[in-house]
Amino acid sequence: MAQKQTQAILSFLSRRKRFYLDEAVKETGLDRRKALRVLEKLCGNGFLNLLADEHIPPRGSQTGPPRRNPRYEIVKDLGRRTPKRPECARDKIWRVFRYMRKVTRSDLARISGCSVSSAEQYTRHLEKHGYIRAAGKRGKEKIWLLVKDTGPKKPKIKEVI
Amino acid sequence: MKKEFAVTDNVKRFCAAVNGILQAPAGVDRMALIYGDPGLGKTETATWWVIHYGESAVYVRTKKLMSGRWLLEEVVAELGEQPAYRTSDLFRQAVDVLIGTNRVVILDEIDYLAYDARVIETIRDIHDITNSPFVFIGMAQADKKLKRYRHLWRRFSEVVRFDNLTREDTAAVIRQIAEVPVNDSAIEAIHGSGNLTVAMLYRWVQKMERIAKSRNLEQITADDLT
Repeated sequence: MAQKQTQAILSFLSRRKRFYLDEAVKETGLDRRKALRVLEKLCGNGFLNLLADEHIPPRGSQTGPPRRNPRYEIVKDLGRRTPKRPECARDKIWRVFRYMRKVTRSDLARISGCSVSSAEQYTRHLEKHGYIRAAGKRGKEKIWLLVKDTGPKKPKIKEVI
Repeated sequence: MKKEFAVTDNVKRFCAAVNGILQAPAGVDRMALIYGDPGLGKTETATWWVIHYGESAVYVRTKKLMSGRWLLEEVVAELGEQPAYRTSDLFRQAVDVLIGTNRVVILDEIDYLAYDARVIETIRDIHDITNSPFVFIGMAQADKKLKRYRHLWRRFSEVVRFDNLTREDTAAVIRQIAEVPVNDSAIEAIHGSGNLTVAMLYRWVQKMERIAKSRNLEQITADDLT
């Protein structure tokens, strides 16, 4: 169902450069709240730019607070939305960190099925950027604790080679 | 030590239960309850399953102070949506994303929510509306706590209790992860050492490999462990 809303909005956006929420609702026939949700997500992902956030007072028999009517502008090619790719080793390691919170590198390799070197390399990057911290030892291995959870998607870390 | 996930009897039963609700025919409720003592690898098994077989699954660890709104917010965020402000919108968001999909929702430490009927019934509502598979993971008494909600209990088509490792499990796990051959006597000695968990077995294997390396042994026996 969510996909249909996104498709409807994308097809509307292929015809417009700048638009109001009202126009998107009128052309797509979507529920105002659902259309706004898709547009806010596209805005959050950097495809749209919020030009103005206007409010329309209730009309006729409408009740309640003024409705939001933001104006957007397309700033990035929507065709470049990346399709869902299969999870890489780092995605899997990040998942293990988020679900288990305290893990050793062996745990990461064992549960995610990645190589120990991948786990070592990624934990080094995550530690360097403050996402995880060593919190004691189990045997000879360090226990890593997740200290900054940025959500289901792994953090974007710039690597300097 | 081989960095492999040990597939024990508990893991097999977990997979069977989740597959059971995923492939449940129409009309059969799609809820499963996994419970057992701490340290038996429930969370680890769920994590392993999500990574290897349930990429689109959602895992939420519940908290003691969690309200219905807080839970919905976490579920919606895990589903990849921007959580709305109002509770009604959050509920609709969760339903919109889950309906018509086969995305498994795993709720860990469900015992924490067992005292809050509103939260438990909200989860049941989402399940009933979307028909999405839900997996509850709880501690040893989770079944007793949830049985109080008869409408919810009726919907569990799979209930799995995680048990202590059997002797066969111990032998299988050790042979699966150890890089040195381990004699039956050593397995017997390890199994007889008390209530074993998989985490303890990993430590035993590490110890055995250290012993084998330092004493240059080709096989580990019970005598080497003392």
